[in-house]
Amino acid sequence: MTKKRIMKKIMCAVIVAVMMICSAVSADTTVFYHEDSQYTVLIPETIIADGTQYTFTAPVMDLCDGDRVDVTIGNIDMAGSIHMSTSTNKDMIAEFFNESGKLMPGQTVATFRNGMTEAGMIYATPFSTEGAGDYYGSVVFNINLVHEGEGDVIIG
Amino acid sequence: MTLIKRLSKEEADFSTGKLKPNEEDYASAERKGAKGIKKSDIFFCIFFSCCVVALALALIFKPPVSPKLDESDGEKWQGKQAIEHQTEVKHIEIPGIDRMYFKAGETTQKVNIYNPESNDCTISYKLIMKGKVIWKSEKCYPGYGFYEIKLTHGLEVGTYNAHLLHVCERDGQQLNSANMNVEIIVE
Repeated sequence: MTKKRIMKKIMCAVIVAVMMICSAVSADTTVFYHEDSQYTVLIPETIIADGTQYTFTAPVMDLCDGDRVDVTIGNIDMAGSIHMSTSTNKDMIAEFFNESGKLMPGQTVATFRNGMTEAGMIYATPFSTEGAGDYYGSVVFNINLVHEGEGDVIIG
Repeated sequence: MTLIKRLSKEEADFSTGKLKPNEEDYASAERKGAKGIKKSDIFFCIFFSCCVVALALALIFKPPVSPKLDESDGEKWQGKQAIEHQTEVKHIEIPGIDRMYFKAGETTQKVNIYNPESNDCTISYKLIMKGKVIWKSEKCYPGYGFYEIKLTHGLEVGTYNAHLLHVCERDGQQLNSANMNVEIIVE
């Protein structure tokens, strides 16, 4: 009986020790999960260069802390303008503006932070044309996720 | 023959002085002057010429007329203004892609690139790294996308900066496009 009691005590002690060790280990364990920023930006399909104003909207803007989404115009020249032409090779230059004036290359036209649904405004006006006609050009919008504090990502 | 003979006789009489000219014809000629012009006509011509010369001189030496700005309707013209008006604005939905995970040395890679169903245009994609196109697609219609792409060559382990160009088109007409910086992590 004495031996049995001693055995029981030893077993209890072992179980308690194992439980304590287990609890100690689980206290050091952390659970981690990372989900990348998710966003969707709507860009204007066509910009009519007659002074009509366009804003940028974002149906989804679920960003990590410190992230933001910048929109710039990629193919604007140093004069803040874009070249357009007709099917008969007449040329036109359209100038682009935002709230603060004429746009410069690399200048941000809209900045979205977490939860924002609307940002920025641009419009274009004709600077010079070669007479009547339908002039076409294309704007390339750069849409970039920026991790603040890490500096802007450089295009490779 | 009789008429010819009579006319010839009158001519002969006139030259010999037998036939005298009508006196009334002489009086009328005196009134008209030596050349047969009335005096009133001459005065009219002189008066008309004077008027023309005076008008010409007045036009030549006309003093410049300075407009009185205070009296002008409207405002000082400073070039055309931008006039706002309602225009139907269509948009292109561009889903953000920040990062892609590729397998080292393999050309076939798994991605999630798609043209949202809400768009009304096709999108052609180009994945560009260090100025070289490492993957490009044909036109991708709304509601379609890519789960797998085939690169021009496999990549070594590392992190690369690239950009994904979205070229948007409808009915052969190019629309505005989008460009997105993408971090490619090759493992």
